[in-house]
Amino acid sequence: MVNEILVIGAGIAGITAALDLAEQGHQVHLVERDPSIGGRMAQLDKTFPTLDCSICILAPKMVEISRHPNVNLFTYSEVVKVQPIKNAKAFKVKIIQKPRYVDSVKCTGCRLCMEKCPVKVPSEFEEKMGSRKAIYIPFPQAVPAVSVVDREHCLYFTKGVCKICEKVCPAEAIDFDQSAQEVELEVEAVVVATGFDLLDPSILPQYGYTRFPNVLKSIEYERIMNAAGPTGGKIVRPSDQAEPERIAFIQCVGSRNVNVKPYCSQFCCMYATKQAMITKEHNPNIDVIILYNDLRASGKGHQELVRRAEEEFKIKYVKGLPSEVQLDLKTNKLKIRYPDILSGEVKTTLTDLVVLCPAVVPKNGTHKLAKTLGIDVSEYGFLKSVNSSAPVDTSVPGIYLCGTCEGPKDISHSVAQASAAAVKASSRTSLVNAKITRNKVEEKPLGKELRIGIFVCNCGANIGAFLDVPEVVEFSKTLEDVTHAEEFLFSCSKDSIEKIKDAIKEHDLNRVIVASCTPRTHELLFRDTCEEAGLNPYLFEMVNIREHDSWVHPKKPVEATEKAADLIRMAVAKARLLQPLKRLETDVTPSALVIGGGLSGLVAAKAIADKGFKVHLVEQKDKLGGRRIDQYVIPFKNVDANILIDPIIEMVKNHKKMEVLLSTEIKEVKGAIGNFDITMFQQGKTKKLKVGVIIVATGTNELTPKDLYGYGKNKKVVTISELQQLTRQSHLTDKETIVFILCVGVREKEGRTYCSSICCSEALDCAIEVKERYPNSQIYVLFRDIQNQLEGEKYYRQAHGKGIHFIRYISEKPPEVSVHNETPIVRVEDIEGRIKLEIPADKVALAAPLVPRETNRNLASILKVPLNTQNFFLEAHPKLRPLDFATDGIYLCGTCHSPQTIEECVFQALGAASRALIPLMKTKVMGEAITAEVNPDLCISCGNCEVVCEYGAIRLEGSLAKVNPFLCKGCGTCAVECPAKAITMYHFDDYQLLSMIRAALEKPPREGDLRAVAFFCNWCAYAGSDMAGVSRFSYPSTARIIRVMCSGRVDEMHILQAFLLGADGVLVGGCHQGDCHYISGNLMAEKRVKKVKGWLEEVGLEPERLRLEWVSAGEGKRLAEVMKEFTAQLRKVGPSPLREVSKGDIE
Amino acid sequence: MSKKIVRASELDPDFKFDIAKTHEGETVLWCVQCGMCTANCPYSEVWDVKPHEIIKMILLGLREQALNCKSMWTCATCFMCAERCPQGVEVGNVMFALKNIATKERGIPEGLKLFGQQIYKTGLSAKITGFRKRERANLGLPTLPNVDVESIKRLLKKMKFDELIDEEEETA
Repeated sequence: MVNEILVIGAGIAGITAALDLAEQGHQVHLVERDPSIGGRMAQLDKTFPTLDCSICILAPKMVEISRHPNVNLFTYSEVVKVQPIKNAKAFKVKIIQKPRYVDSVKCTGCRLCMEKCPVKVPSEFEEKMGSRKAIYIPFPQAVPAVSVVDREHCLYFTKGVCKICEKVCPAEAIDFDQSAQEVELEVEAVVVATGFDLLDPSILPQYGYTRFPNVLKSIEYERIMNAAGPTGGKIVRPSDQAEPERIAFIQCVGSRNVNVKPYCSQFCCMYATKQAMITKEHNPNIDVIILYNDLRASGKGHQELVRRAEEEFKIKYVKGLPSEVQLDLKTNKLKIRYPDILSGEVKTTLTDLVVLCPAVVPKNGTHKLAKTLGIDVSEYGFLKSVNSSAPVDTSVPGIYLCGTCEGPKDISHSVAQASAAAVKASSRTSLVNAKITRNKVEEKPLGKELRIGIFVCNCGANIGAFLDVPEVVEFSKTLEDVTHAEEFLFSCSKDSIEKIKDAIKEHDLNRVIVASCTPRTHELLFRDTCEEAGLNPYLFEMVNIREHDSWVHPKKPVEATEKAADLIRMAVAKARLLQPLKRLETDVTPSALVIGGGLSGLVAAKAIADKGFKVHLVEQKDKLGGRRIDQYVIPFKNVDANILIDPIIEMVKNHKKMEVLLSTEIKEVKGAIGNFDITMFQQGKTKKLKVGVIIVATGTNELTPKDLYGYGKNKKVVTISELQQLTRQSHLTDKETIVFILCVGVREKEGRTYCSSICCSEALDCAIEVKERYPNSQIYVLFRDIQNQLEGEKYYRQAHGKGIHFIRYISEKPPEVSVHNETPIVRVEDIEGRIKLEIPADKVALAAPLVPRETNRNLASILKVPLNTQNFFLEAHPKLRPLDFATDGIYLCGTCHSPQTIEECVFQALGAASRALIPLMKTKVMGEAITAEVNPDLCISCGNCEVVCEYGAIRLEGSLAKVNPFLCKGCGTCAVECPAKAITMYHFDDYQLLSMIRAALEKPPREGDLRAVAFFCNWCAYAGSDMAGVSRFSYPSTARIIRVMCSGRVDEMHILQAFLLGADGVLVGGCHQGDCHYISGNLMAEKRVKKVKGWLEEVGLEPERLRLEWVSAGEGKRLAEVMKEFTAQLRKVGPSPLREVSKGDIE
Repeated sequence: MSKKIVRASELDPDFKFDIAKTHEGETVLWCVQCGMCTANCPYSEVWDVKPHEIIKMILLGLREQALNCKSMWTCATCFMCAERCPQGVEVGNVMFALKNIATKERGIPEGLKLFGQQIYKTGLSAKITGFRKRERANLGLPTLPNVDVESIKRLLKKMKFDELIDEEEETA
C-alpha cells in the first residue's frame, strides 16, 4: 500500500481535495466522468463577491493538477466498484475509462479534427445554446486538451462513413478501434466530490421554460454573459438576438417548495446578484429586477455586494414571488405578474428575458454512485454527512464528502470542505513525509551571448483574427539578440509546449518570450516549460497581446499590430537584462502553532497532531473550549455544544503530540513559513517556540448589545443566549410574551455591514424551544430576511406550525423598544401585513451578532496578516484560498474568518489543518525568487525600508538592512523608498523597468496619436485590464502597459523617465484603498504620484498628464473608461513638448 | 391595512388555530408570505386586501379585520393559489374556513343573500338557457333532469340556509 487516494469528481471541490492530497505527498487518482476536468466552475462567467473571472482563477488550478507528478488523472471515466478490503482499511476500486477514440498520448489538442468534422451537435458546456462537433474538446481551456469522439453523433459510428478526422489529424491520433479500459486500484481513502445539477424547470410548466425561448435557466444566462459563450458575451434574447431592455430574475424556482424541493438552495440569491451586476456592466441601461422571497446573503462580503448592486448598479430587489411567466402576444415580451409585498401592490411587468434560479439538486448519477460506495443519502437526496461535528464523514469510514454533492454550497465553502475531506483522507494513510518527484532538469550554462526566442500565439482566432501575427513574428526577428521567432496556433497546447522546449535546445536559447495572453494565468506554465528545457524559469518573459491588445482593439488591426510590436520590444528590452534567480529552499520545523483553543482551534490542532506533528495549542483564557462551551446549543440538533467539544478537549489534552498552553498570549512572531520564531507570555513568563506553520483560530465575541433596544437598562431585554439559559433553567413562566429582534447592530449601512449568519437559526431554535416548554407563551420574531441553512427551512416551517409570529421589518423602519411601568413595549411595522404593532413584552430577546475580537488588530500586526474592513481576518482569496493568508505558512479557520455555523467551523478547521500539513509533510519549502536584496555597499542604514515593509521582511540588523527571502513578497515598495538605491527588486529592477519605458517610447506614435506609459499592479489594475479584455471592452491604444507587482513599486524616477523620453502621459494603476495585495503599497503610490505632480507643475508640464487610478480586478468596464478618459484628457493638453527633445539620452 | 397602531392585546392569538382546526383551514399556518397566491389570484388587483394579506391577518390574530374583509366573498375559488403555493397553503380553502366563521358570527353580505335566494327558489345557481339545452342536444348529451325544487328546499332548510338568506316566505 503506497498512500493512494481516490477522488471522484474533478470540479473545484475535487481539484482542491486532490491538490491538497498530492501536495502532501499522496498518490491521487482523480476520476472525472466528463472529457475535461473543471466542473461547474469552468462554465461560470464570474464568481461573487469579487466578480473575478471564473475560468481565469480556475484554469491555473486545472493546469497545476494535470501537471502534478502525484496525480493520476482519469477523465471520461467512471468509478464502477468500490469495495472495502477486510481488515485492511483500504478499498478495491474499479474504474472504467470510456473510449475517446483518440489516442490521448498522440493528440496535441490542435483542434483540426474539430474544425473539419461535418457534424454539429449542441454543446453541453454551452448548455446546448452553442454547438460543438461530433469530435470535440469541450471548451478552450479544457484539461486534458484531448479530443473525444461522440459516438452517438459521429457519422462513422452511425452510418459507417466520413472518417475525415482521421484523415486530417496531423498526429495520427484518431483510433476508431479503441475500447473501454478497466483499471483496478487499491486505495486507502475515497473523496467524493460529484457536484450538482440544476433542477429542470420544465417540470414546473408555469415558468414557461422551453415553451418560451426567452426564459432561461441561470446557468444558461451565465454562458450568455460569458465572452467565450454562444453569443460572444453579448447579452441578447435568444428569440431574436435583440438586446434586452429588461431582465427579471426569479428566485426559489422549485426551492423552498414543499411539493418540489423543500430546502433552500443557498447560493441563488448571490449568483443572481452577480449576474444582475454583470448585466449592468455590459449595459447600464438594461432594467434588472430580482424577485425574491428572503434575500439570503449571509456569507463574507455578501451583504456588501448586495448593497452595491442596489445602490451603485440600481438593481431592483422586490420581495414577492411571481407564480407564472406568460407571453404577451402584442409585444412578444414575457409578462410577469408579481406582488410587491412592501407596497402591497400587484404589479405586472413586460420583460425581454426571464432568468430562473432553479433548485440545486445532486448531480445525476449521484444515487447510483452512493450505492456503489455503500454510503447513505440524505432526506433531500444529497450524499449524507454524519453530523455537524463530522461534516465530511460518511456512513462508511474512509469515504469522505465535499462540495455540493453533500448539499448546496458556494465555492468558498466547497473549497474549504474539500480541504477538510483531504485531511480526513490523509488521516487514513501512514504517510508522514511527502514524496513528490518532479522531473528535475539540470540548468544549462547560459553562455555570454544573449539568445532570445520569441513565440507569438494566435490563440486560435482570438489574436490572429485581430492583428497580423506573421508581421509581428517578422518584426520580432529584427530585434537585437533575437535568434528565433515563430508563431503557434495555441502556445499553451501540449504540442506547442514541446516545440518551445525543442526550440530552446535547438537554438540554444537563453531568454524566452511568449506573446500570447495574460501572465496571470499562463506565466507559471511557461516558466515550468523553460525549467523542463534546462532554463532558469526567471529567464522567461510574457507579453500580453490578447487581453491587452487583440481583444480591446478589435476594429483597429493596424494599431493592434503596432501595439503588439511595441509590447514585444519592451519585453525584449527586459529579457536582455533578466538574470537567473534562485528560489531558496529551507527545512520546515515539523511543528505547528494553533492560536485559539475554541472548537476550530481544537479540531485543527487534533488533525495535525494525529498526523504525527507536534502541535502547540495556545489559548488566551485559562481553559479550552472557547466561547461556546458554557452556553451553546447547536441549532435544531438539541445537542449541547459541550457534548461535541468535551471529547475533543479530552483527546487533545491526552494527545502525545500536543502541548496545551493556557493563559498564554502571543507577543512576537518572527521568521517565515517553515521557521517561525514565536515569543509568548504565559502568566508573566516569556516562552519561546519555533514552529513551521501557524493556524489562527481565535474565534469571535458575541456583541454585548449595550444601548440597543434598551439592553442593559431593562432586565427584561436580554440576548438570545441569555434567554436560552433562562428557558433551560426554567426561569420563564408560561403565558409570557417574548419578542425576538433579529439583525441587531448588523447589516447596517455603515459600520457592521455584514450578516452574522447564524442568528436566524439560533433565534428559530430558541423560539421553538421556548414554545415547546411554555406552550402558552406568545412569541414574535422580528426579522428582516430569514437566513436559513439547508435544514433550517424545516424548522422555519415547524416554528410556523407552532404558531410563532414572524414579523418582517425593514432597515429603514427598525423596531423601537420603550419602557412603560418596567415593561418593554415593542413597536414595529410589519411590512408584509403593512400594519403597525405595539407589543408589551415580558422578554425581549436580541440576536446579538458575532463581532470580531478587539485583539484581532494586535494579532494581525504581530503576524503581519490583513483584516477586512470589519476587522475579521482576511483570507488570501475569498473563493479559492479561503483558509490561507496571503502570507505563506499562516492559515485561518472558524469565526475569526467570518461568522460561521458549527459545521462550517469544523470543516474550516479540518481544511486549515490540511493546508498546514502541506509544508509540514513536504519537510522543505521554497522561498519566493522575486524578492528584494540590499547591496551592503550602498546601504546607509536609514531604516526607511523597514518602516514601509508590511511583512517585516526587511529589517535593520546592526548597520545594514537585510531581507528575509521567506518573508519578502516582492512588492518592491522598499526599493523605491531607499534613498541610496541600495535595494534591488529582482525581476522588476530599475534597469529592467527603465529599459522597458525606453522601449515603449522608442517608436513615436503616428501623426495625431498620443503615447502614454501605464504602470499597472499585477493584482488589480493589470487584472482589471485583463478583465476589460475578457469582456471585450474596447478602448484607444494610447497606453503601453508595464506590469509591476505593486503600484508601490513605481518610483518617481520611472515616471520622470517616461516624461523625459517624450511620453504624453503616465498612468499609474493600483488596487482600491484597503484592497492592496501588499496591504499599503497603493498608498505609497498615491503619495509619490502627488509628489511628482508637484514637480511637473514646477517645470511647466501639465500635471493632468499624470494620473493615478484605482481599478479592481473586476472592473474591466471602468478600466476601459479610464483609458478612454485619459486619452481624451491627453488630447486636450496635446502632445508632450518633450517628445522632440527626448531624442538625447538621459539616464 | 390599517394606519392606526394595533396593540398586541387586540390580537387574537387563537384565531389562526381556530382556522387551522377546520378541515378547510388546516394549511394556514405554513404561510411564509412569498406572495405567490396574490401573484396568481385573478382578483388581486381589485381586492382591497390581497390573499397573502388575509393569511397574514389570520396569522397575526387580526380577527375582526379578517372576518370583515370583503375580498374573501368574491373569491372565484379557482384554486390557483393552492395549486402554486410553495408551502402547500390552500389559500382558497382557508377563505372558506374564514367565510364559515364569518357566516356563523355575522351572516353573509347582502349580494350573496340575493344569490342564495335564487338558489333556494329555483334549485339552480344559474339559469339553464334554451341555448344550452340545444347545444347539449347537438353534442348528443343527455337532457338535463328537472330540478326537484322542493327537496332542495327541504335540504337547505335543514341546513338553516333559509335563515342565512333571510328567506321568510316558507317559515311564515
